[in-house]
Amino acid sequence: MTERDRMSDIDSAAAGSYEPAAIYYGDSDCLEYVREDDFCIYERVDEYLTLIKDAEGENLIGFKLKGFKNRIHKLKPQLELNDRQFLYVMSAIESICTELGDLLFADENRSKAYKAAYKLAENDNVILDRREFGTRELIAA
Amino acid sequence: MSSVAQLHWRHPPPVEAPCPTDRQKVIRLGVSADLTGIGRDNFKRTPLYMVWAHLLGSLPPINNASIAEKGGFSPTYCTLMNARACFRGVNRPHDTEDGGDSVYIYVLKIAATLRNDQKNAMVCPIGTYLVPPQNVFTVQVRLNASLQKPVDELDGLVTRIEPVAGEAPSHALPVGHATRYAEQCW
Repeated sequence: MTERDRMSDIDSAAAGSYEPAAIYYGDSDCLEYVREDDFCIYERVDEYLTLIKDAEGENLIGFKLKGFKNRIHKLKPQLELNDRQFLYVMSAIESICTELGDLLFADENRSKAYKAAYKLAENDNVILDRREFGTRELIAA
Repeated sequence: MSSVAQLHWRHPPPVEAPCPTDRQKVIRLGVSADLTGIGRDNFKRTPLYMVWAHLLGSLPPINNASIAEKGGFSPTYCTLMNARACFRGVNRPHDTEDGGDSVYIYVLKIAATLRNDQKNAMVCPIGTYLVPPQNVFTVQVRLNASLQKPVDELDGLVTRIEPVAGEAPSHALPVGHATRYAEQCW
């Protein structure tokens, strides 16, 4: 067997191409939205939110919502009223902001970060396909 | 061609790492489907390229991947055995835990990494990127005891790899590491 035979082709397993979408990562329990499949810097804001910036660390290209399974539990009443297939990620950000309340406005940088993530979610119409999160998790949450 | 001996870039072998509680011991970790994209139509290649270069110490076994080194730069080839520090607990809700106590974070200092690069797409969409020196990489790990489905014959799973800002002046550990993690193992 030659060295080349031991290699896989990049698309031999239906790798597909990346399209911006909210993706739930179950093993690390976070929801991530990022516009590009490229090197990016993860900038922690607090225990719930991380901003994702471009390689220069200047432009916002995404965000990560942490502890998302826990968040879904809090959004459950809203989800039960909404039988659509998609969940607007803005709702999850709103839920965190509601929980933080005055703490959010006491810290200008934190407040700006949440506003930036919310604006990105709104402008890019970031939605989570329930199938992405998994029906079982939604029921069990 | 036999498929048995073929290495597939989306099926990386186990990763070795120093044990969080005893640095002299070595543990073996699988790579989460969150990183390999197995079962997903849509996944980011860049983190899996990073897994190969920085956790397994090689280029991903993809035909023509060596084009990533054509620009005169090579990615930093290392493994978790080169980790500078290890922390436990992410101080936030994680899955069923309020404080994410079962999550371990290894810290790597990386000079150059791999990324998805469409400039090379005709040959292989991979390129080397020089990491700004003020950054470090964090690698999240969950040990078997905390996983709902333990990984056979392995001690746990690597679940994430992320470039984050390093704390000044040395930029050797993540910004705010004293408060963002519960404790430093070593």
